[in-house]
Amino acid sequence: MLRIMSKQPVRNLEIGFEDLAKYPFLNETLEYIRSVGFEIDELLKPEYVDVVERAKNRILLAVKKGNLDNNFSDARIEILSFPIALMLVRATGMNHVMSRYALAESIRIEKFLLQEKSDIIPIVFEKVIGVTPIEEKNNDSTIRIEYKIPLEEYVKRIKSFHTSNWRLVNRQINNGLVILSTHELIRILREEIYALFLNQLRSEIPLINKPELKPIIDEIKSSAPLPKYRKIVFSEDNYPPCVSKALEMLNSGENVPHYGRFLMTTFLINIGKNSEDIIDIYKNAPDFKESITRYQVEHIAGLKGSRIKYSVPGCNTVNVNKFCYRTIECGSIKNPLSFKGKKQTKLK
Amino acid sequence: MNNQTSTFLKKCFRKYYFQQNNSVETPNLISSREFGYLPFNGFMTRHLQMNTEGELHALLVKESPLGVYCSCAYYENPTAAMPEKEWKGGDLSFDIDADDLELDCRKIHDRWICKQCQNIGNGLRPVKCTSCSGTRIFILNWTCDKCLNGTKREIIKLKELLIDDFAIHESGIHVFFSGNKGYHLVVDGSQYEHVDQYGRAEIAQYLSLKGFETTIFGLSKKITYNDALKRISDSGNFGWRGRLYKFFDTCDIEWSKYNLHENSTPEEKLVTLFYNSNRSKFSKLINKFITYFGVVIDPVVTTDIHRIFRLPGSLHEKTGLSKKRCLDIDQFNHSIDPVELSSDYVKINVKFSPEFKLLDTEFGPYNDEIIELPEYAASYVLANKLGEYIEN
Repeated sequence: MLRIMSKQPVRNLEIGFEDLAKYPFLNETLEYIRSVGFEIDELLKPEYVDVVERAKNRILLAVKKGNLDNNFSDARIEILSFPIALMLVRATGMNHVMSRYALAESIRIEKFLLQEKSDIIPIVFEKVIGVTPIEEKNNDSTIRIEYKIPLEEYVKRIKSFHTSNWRLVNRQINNGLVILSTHELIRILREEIYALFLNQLRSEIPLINKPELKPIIDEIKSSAPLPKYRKIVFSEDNYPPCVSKALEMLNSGENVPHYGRFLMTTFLINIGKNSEDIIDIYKNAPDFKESITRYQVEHIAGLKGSRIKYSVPGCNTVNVNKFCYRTIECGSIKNPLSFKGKKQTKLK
Repeated sequence: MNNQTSTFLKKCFRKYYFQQNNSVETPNLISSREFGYLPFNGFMTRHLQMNTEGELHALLVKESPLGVYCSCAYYENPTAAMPEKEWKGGDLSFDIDADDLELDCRKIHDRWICKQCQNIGNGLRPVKCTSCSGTRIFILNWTCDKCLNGTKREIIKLKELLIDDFAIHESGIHVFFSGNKGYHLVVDGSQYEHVDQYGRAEIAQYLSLKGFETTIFGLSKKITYNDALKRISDSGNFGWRGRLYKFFDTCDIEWSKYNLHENSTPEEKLVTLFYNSNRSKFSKLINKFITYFGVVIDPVVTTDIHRIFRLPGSLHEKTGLSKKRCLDIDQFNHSIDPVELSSDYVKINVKFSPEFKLLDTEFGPYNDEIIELPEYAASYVLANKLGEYIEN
């Protein structure tokens, strides 16, 4: 278990050997790995057989079950197997393996953190995120401990949280600080650790090129085939309600607000309509001018100007921009492109 | 707008930018911002860099544009194309527009004009012209004291929230009359300057109470009254939560009907109403709270981190009024303070114009007539494309 070393002037952690195995993101863990001084070339030596085996096991559990076991018998093997696992995952070059592995490892850390004493959490938070949560004892101080973090830091870290309890509007804010429970602090930590691991896997970890490790890498690859995405084929009577609304307004000669036009255009481009088809749709607009419409549609399609094809804005953004016409058929989709409607066609 | 009219307006704008160049404010970090302007003839010019105040003033006199804008963002390369600009941060900006308040007075003073048959109608734009069924319709959104006082109330609410909930220092908050239908508020040099568009969307939703849910903080019929009351009482009363308690505390409700009295705690009142009134009554009260306390901002302006915003002190292309700094928002008079053009009389042919008030003088309504108006009032009509200038 992590323990607090000193309360003043700067609180720090007393870190045991097992903690290094539980929390591979700590600088202390990296220092230990460096101190062992093992080289990639040594990986196939008999003394590392257990370590490589555990690394492989970690990855396979992550990609097959999405979950890692919390128990380990040998902390040394656990510590050293993590960077090796990262290298093996990186070597697969498969994005979905990288994200599944990063997620499983971060969930495991979350579980370990939930078992720690609550006063440890803000120190770990500070170590990872660089922001010191302010501890706030509730009136009923024996039960509830809350933390406050700066609002500007909070809003930067909730992008991937989609449930309404994380929205700033539903948080308690006091003088520029957002109030969080211990669990919520840990959840934010998990997300940050996930992003950290994913970033390491995508760019920072060196690519190993050792033929001897190829069988292991191949085994990982074969255990994690590419996910079969359901391709949604859209027909006009199957557009999401926001896009249908924009089309309906245009067809009746109504003036579609700017954001509705942007949403509809990005959507139609992203489902494969060409610029000419889209410009044709705008001919009903009360303020239609072909040259301007053509420039704007081609700009959004990435054919003009910055040459960047715009993606379809997420449902939350559409909502903020007052063009969300959500129906029950939308379910919990986060982007109009995921709208399944009633007449969805599935393709493999 | 014919050539004579645009030449006249341009002359008025140039005179202002030449004689009162100190009225145009120079933004901080000027060389890191993107500038743009809308000329009288032609398209918007963007991606400009101004290194000094002198350079900016020279541009204004030389071009005398219809509108001039400056980015809220600061960039490594302000003149580069958008993807290469390298966003380094930006002011937090807010736009409060009378149209978004959707007040009833719009139905009285707004007009629509069919571009096909020139039919003029009162109120909000119909889908089709009521005379010829044409869909090419020009909309004239007008304003009155009621609209602009409404936007003033919103800006005061916004400023208070930014200070109380967001801990923004008052000295970093700058309020301006937009020059047309509302107010702009800009926060510079704050802790929020590096917050990206997603974070700014959260801020916009918070301020407008979009997505506010009472279930989040413990109100649920799945738990007992006592548990809900304990949960509510145990949690803090900051931000919206605290305001909601106060709102329920001050609601005009006959509390004795619910076995409560005036001195019952706000938490008791809230939980009791939640459990003992029907769902629609409770929802109505929550909606009233949202309407009363939420700020009506244009979320697009706040979330667009690359937006170029009207330059403080510059003239508005639809009114000829200036985007004027409000040092004391309570005392600011939207029909006096932003008037910058001269009082020399000029002759114009007004097609039609609803009434308006500038410098405490009532003008209009006008209908197809040739009149003489002070330059500031003539510009107001002409910039709104409601008439043409007549040369003497």
